[in-house]
Order: sequence, then C-alpha cells, then structure tokens
Amino acid sequence: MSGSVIGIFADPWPEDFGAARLTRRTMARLYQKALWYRANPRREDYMRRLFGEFYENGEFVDTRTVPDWGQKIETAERIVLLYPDAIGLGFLPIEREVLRCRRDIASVEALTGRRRRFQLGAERLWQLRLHRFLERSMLPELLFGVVFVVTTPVLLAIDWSRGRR
Amino acid sequence: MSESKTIQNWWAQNPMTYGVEHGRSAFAEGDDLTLGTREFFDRLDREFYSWNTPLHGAKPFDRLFPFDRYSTQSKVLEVGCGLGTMAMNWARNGVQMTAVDLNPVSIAQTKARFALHDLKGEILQCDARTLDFPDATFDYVYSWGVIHHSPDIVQSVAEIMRVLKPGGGFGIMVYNRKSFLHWYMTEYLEGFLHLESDFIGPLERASRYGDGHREEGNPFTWPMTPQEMLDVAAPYSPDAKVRVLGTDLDQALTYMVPGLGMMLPVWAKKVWARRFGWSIWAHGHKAG
Repeated sequence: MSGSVIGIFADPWPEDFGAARLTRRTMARLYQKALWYRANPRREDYMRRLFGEFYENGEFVDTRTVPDWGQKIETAERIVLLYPDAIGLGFLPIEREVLRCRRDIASVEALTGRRRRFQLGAERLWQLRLHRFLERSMLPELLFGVVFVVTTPVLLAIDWSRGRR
Repeated sequence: MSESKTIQNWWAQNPMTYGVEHGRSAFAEGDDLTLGTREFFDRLDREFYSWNTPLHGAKPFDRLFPFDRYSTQSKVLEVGCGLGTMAMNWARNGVQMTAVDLNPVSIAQTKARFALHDLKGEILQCDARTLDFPDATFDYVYSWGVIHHSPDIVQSVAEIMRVLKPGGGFGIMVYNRKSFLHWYMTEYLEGFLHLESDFIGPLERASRYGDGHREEGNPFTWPMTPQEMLDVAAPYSPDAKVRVLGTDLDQALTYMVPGLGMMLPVWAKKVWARRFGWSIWAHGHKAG
C-alpha cells in the first residue's frame, strides 16, 4: 500500500439537468428538475475544496479526465468516494469498480456534498442503494399523491361544513 | 463567538434578498443587481410579493395587516425588518414607523430604501430579545419570519408584548413545524432519505435545511407548531389566534410530486394549505 488517500470524484449530473427554465414542461422534465433540486448536487470545484479540507494530502481524481483511475486505487491506503449529493446517486458503477479492484471495503469511505463522512460497509451500501431507489422512483411520494387526491374531497367537505371556503 | 453574534454575522453576510441564491442579489432572469439601489429594491419586492400572492388585496399584505386601523397618530414597530419591504408599506400607510433588526446590513439597506422613497421612520439595530423601548410604546407590533431564528422565541414574544400598548394589536409570523415543507423536505428527504438524522439532531436539521438550505443553511431556525405559538401568545392576549398560511404549497408539491400542483385546482390546494402550510400567523390584541 502506498499510504496515500485517493478521492474519487464523478459527476453524474449533466450541466443543464436542473436548468432553471425548461423548454418543454413535460412530466419527464418536471421529474428531472425535481430530482436535481432535491439532490442539490455540488459541482467539481466544491468537492475538490471539500476533499482538501478533510484530506490535506489526498489526491483528487476526477473519473471524467482520468480514465485509468481504477489502477490508482489498487495501491492506495484509503479510498474516498466523493458523492456530490448526499447518497451518491449515479455512483453504482464507480462503487462496483472500486469493489472489483479492492475487495477490502474497510478502506473505503464516502465524503458527501452535505459535508458528511462515513465508512462504506456492506450494510451502509445496502442502505444507500435502497435510499437511491426510493429517491429515483419517488415511490413514497407517488403513494402520498394518491392519499392526497383521495383525502382532498373529505377535507373539503369538512371545511365547507364549517363555513370555510 | 456567542450564538447571537454567530446569527448576526451570518445574516449580515447572507441578507434575505429573495434571490436565486440566498443572500445574493441575482434573480431568475440573471441580473446581478446592486444592493441599495431602487432597481434592486423593486425587484426584491416583486419577488417577495410573488411568494405571498393570496395575502394581497388592493395593497400588498392587506388581507393580513389591519392597515385601515392605524393612521398618522399610530406608532407601529416591525421586529426584524430585513431589507425593509414591509416597513416601507407601513410607512406609506402614514404611520409613525419604527423598524429594528439585529443585522447591520438590514439597517443600512432599510435606511437606504426609506431615503430613496422619501419616507420617514426610525430604523434601529437591536436584538429582538431586548428591545430598546419603554413599556407600552407602540399601537401595533409585527414580525414576519424572524423570531424563529432567535435562540429564545419566548423572550422575543415577551418583548413584543412589553412594548405594545394595552389593547394594541400584534401579528407574528413564524415557520411551522407541522407543515408539508418541514415534514417532507427536512425530516423525510434530508433526515431520512439523505441520512442527515445519522449526523445531526432536529434543531440542527431545521437550521441546516431552513433558509439558505441550498448553500450551507443558517445558524439557527426552530419552527414552532400552531399550538406552541398560541401557548406563547395567549398569556398576553385574550383574543390571540393562530392561522396557518400555505402560500408555499405550490412549491412544496412541485418537489414532492412533480406535476401534482399543476393538476390540482386552487380550492383543492387550499384545504391542505390552511392545515399544513409553512407559516403560522399569530395575531390578536394585548390585554387591557
């Protein structure tokens, strides 16, 4: 092991993903904008600065510009996955590659755009993947939407009976 | 550094501009306006008013504020004037206006605004917990979205009531912990889905994901519940009431269930807004 700390940065969020103005207000665009807004991903310069704060002598590796980054992590003492958002949406390919190159998950951490740092164990990875599914699918929100629509007439009837319009 | 100084410094660096980013003076169309200019104030006011459209009638906020009951003989105080929009409207109503804020930038900006509009008013820097006025000075005291940033909301309300004349009116808006916005964005989305509950407690979450949440949050925000707000105001006011304002609901729905807000008619959103909106409006009159 080289004794080094390598920070792996990837940016799964295209520049215009959360564009303030969408040219076509289709459901897909609304979904995209909502996903981006909620995730609030940080950009490369922010993550680079953050990594430097936590790991003064660490090496920041941007996977977009270093295609052979997998080789770099093979000998690193610690690997830090730099999630631009809170839970690493879009980071599954990176995580798979890291685990393929390094079976020792104990040396892998995450540092997020919310400024949180945590160890990546099997349980945490499982939790992250579940939360990513919930975030992308918006399943709880869709269920809420159904409840919302069904309950609205009931609340309306209650308000009207009390003279509230 | 004391908590008060931390709060003061943060708001001085990040004044409530209603811009695209908290504390910045650029708005949706991309302009980066200069603080203190007429253009900036006009643009800020337009943005602020647009966030509260249901509360306006012939004048901004006249569905909430009893403008017609207070005239040139009336002394009105705003606690936490920010960049002076509401103080300006009250001064235009002809009252003897006093506005205070902990933030020196707010004081400077409100003074600049009053000068630009040729309005008279006393604009002073002070802490809401220790208002620098004698007892029973004012006929009406209001505060809009401010004292939930105070580490001592109870003391802040006590001071509002102290400087109010017996029989004087008050109106206090604070954020609502029993709101869609808080439950969904702070507790579910950030607390649970984004794992923030593993790292920070309820007060820190409310602060981190309150004003300035897209940057790093602010140092102190504690939303109240309607009952809590009533419990704080009621000892001073026999007719104290609380009302939930839901002018945020459209935005909350946009990010909760994309498209749902667009599909629902106004009357359908109203039934939820009046129950689970982001703001609590506590109002009434001081005993006596």
